[in-house]
Amino acid sequence: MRSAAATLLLVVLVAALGPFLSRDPDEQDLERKLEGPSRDRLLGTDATGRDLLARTLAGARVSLAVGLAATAVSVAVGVAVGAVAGYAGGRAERLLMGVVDVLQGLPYVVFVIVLVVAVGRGMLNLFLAIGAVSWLTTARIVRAEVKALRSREFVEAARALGAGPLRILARHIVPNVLGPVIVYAALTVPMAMRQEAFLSFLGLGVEPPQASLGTLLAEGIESLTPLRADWWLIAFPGVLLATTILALNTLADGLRDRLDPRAAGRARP
Amino acid sequence: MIRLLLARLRAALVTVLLIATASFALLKVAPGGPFDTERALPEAVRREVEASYGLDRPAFVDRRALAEGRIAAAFGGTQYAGYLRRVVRLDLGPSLRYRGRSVNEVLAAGAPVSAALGLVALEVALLLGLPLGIFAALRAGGRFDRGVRAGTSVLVAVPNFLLATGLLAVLGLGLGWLPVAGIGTPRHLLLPVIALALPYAATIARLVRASLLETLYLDFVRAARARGLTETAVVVRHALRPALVPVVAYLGPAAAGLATGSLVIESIFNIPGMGAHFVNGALNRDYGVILGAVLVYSAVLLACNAIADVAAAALDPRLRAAGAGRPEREEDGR
Amino acid sequence: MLARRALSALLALAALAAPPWLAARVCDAPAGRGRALVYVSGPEPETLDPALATGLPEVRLLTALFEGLVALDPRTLEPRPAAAEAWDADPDGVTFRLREGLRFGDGSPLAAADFAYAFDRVREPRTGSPWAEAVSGLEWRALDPRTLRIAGPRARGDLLARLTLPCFYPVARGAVEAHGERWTRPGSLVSNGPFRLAAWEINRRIGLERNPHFRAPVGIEAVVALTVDGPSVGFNLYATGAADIVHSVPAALLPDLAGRADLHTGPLLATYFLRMNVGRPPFDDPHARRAFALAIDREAIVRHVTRSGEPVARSLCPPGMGGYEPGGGPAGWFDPAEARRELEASRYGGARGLPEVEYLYEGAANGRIGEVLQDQWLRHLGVRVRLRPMERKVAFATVRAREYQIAWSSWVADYPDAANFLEVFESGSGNNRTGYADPEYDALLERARRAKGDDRLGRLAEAEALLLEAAPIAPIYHYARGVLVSPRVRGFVSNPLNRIDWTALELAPGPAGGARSP
Repeated sequence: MRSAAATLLLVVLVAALGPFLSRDPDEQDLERKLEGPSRDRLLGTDATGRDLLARTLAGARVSLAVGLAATAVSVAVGVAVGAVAGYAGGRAERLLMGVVDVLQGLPYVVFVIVLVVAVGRGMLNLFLAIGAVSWLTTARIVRAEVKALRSREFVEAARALGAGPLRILARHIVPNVLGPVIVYAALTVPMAMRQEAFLSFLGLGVEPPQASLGTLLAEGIESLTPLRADWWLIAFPGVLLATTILALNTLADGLRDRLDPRAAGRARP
Repeated sequence: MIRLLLARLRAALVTVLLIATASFALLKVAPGGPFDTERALPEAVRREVEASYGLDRPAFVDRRALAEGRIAAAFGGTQYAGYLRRVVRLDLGPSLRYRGRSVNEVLAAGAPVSAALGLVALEVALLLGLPLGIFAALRAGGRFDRGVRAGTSVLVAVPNFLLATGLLAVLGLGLGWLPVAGIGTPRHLLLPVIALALPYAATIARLVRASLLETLYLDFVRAARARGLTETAVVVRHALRPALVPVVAYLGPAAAGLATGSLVIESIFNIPGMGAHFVNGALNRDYGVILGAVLVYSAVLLACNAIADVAAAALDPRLRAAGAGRPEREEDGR
Repeated sequence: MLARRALSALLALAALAAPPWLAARVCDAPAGRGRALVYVSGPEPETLDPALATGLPEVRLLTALFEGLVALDPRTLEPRPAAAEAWDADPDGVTFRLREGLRFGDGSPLAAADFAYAFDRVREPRTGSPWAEAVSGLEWRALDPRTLRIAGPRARGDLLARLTLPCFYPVARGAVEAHGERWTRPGSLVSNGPFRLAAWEINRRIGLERNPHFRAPVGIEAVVALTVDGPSVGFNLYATGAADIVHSVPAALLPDLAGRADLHTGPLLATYFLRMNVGRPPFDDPHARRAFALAIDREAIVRHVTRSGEPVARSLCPPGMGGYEPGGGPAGWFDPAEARRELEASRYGGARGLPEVEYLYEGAANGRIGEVLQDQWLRHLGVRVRLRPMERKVAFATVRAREYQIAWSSWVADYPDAANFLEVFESGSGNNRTGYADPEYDALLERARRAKGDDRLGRLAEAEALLLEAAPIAPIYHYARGVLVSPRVRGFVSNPLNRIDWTALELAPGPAGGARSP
């Protein structure tokens, strides 16, 4: 768990500091295209001579950004919906949970693709599209927690003192559900990153020349032929993506064990 | 159990209807259409073509008819109404990109391929994952167990297209052992199936391991052990069956995930399955195929989940009340 | 109890066996790989209706399935007799005499009326044919079953070359009337070319079989066109021996393949250029347009980005089209100093006075060129251009609606004649999309239509000079071709239109092999 956190921190730091550590990822040097790793181009170059190290770091920034932003969207929506449903109860709860049920019947990946086709590509749309399909389980969890908390004494007390429902939700209930929400958010970030990589790989996500780990992998696979294998184009972005996701998953598992022991019984593989 | 099934079916129908509507609405606002091509269609011709597909009619509401009080005509003559009427007849409409072909045809051409790929991958995932998970549980804490846990962690984290690319590069192109594209012979399926199956094998292994570890210490198992049965008998006859329940329940989302996960695998290996048609449809704005694929995938997902839940309930009577206890779905890009 | 366990065991066995059985059913490599010529076709054909097809994979298949009045000689690209054995030209039009005994693939006789019917179909708006403009200005009549007369204001000049377009292939009325939109399926498609449509598996392959009723012997028994997405897959299929011919070799590989006996290279009759929207600032000022065009270092693009040996473009029309000498103009040269002078002479007075400029393109390949252009405009003109990538369909829609400033473009010759390129920029052409409208240009093209021979070519050259001077476009390079052909294919002639003469091909006996190394 600790090594996972350390790895993650390293990745985030390096990605964030990327612009200061490496060259300009957009700078082309057509005389030096498709070179393997060398002394001054540590990870090699791509088809227009851009430094792969710089591009991989830039790509990591984009992938992380999309992962975090999409998770933020999904957490915001999920908490809002779940809290309202759990607190209000009755018809509102049935309606909202009904919507959640319907949306869970959707093939997640398929619907993200439809959303991207509908709203167009670009980073903002990507956050929204991925976030829009990831909030469901958060909503369920929050609803269950809020329902449990709703009838607790401190809530009764607050209500007796005249606090309105919004205030109660904001000040008393939501802070107490943060545990499981944080756990699930930690799980959602790698999921969102995988979604983004998948979409970009298919050509439906981030647009070139902006790099994300997904587009870098797509470029890399185009270069695979029996005649030449520019393995560095796939290996480095791929390893970075896999390592980041793995670290995030481990971190999330660890967080879950600490913050929400009940979830451990939910047979999460 | 029949009642459970019927209730699920009814919910499923409503769901499919809502999905159809939502997708239709979304695609109506999408920019760019299937008739935007490099070589221009003369305007008169473009209008004819769009009319022949009914694209010149109002999308949801004919305002003029509404204003004139002709309610039925206002809603009945729209694109949406036409779409719904077709969907009810299980006719997914014409493909907008492949002139003269219906979406049913296009998807039906790819469905057996995707189904074969998915089913074989599911089988491989089970055949690999179950034994691995069971033995890891039986030797919990040992080296084998640690190895399995580490290996499955990696496999679950790595995006499937990365795995597929790696396998393609090493086994297909580097060593030349296996064919790299198309589906001419069963050998062609080896790489795609492995790439698809491995992450699910990993998840199944982890699931069964966790679940078996729990069951092995439950009261009735301890009772069996106390009665003097051998460990093998204990495991096989008593612990295994309830331990498999989460796995069976997982098969529902797993099967659906395999169906959608094949999207990228089919693209990488140039396999003419439904996933490839869907991705091409998305890239080419063939709204007919996109809508049709969404409906088919939704129906498949709902059916798989329903079957898996029913099977899980059959295995474990505790679950027969109102479909409880499915492990959190892997809502990810597989 | 025992019965139940036996039943469960049986079910389990069936469940285990079913998926592999299904998989085996789904994979079915056709027998006789050795006797079929397999080539990499490209993306799934949208249609095989000759009136509707516009894409290269479709056109290539149609040249195997159909035959028109004339065909292009694969070596010289000059029109030569095909279904017509001879023709007489007079001031008003051309009279074609069909060969005797021509038949469709189903054995039914082929007559001049079938050509007339096909042309009628193209003209009819309800067919929805994008070639409707190609038949405008022509009148046709079947004088008798073996004679077809084509006349009218546009029945001269490049008529013969134009007749090689797929929209001029004959169509069997009976098939279309019986099957409607679905007449292009195997079993209902009736065609008159060297091959018949035997199978069409969506997104997988298209199978053609030899047409026994074709007027000449056909050397190959069967052809399989593989549907692939993405150039590297196509190449991989060739390299592993699964295909005999592949047309689009990824540019990155060409340096490694250079010198191989199975690689055919040469120019292609196609041009990559930039379109500028003359209705939008800054491209509403011809000085600004010329400035941008002059600041492009085409050599650098060709040498470093595309790297397939493409010739730099000094004009819109590529060289090698029947004696036509392109009218070169300032847009064809790289001259940064002159570019800056032009920019200063423009309404904007220089780089600083310009509004924001966006370069529109789609796809990663065009993106690489776009990045180089961006770099060059910055270095040579001091203008910072933004890149505006778009999805393919959205990009086409945007260009069509003229909501862009400067965009990527290309034009591949439909037939080897300069008019095919230059007519794109007539003021009324749907393919224009720049807003360029010059009555003098239109008049020159009209005069060219009425002229013949060198006179005609001279008019076209004058028109092109006007076009390049006004610079609504900036030509960058002419395409180059890289075709890999397996040694077991005999009789292949490579030409700048990548036209295959199917009747001249033969397969050497022996198994199909891989081609990993030369």
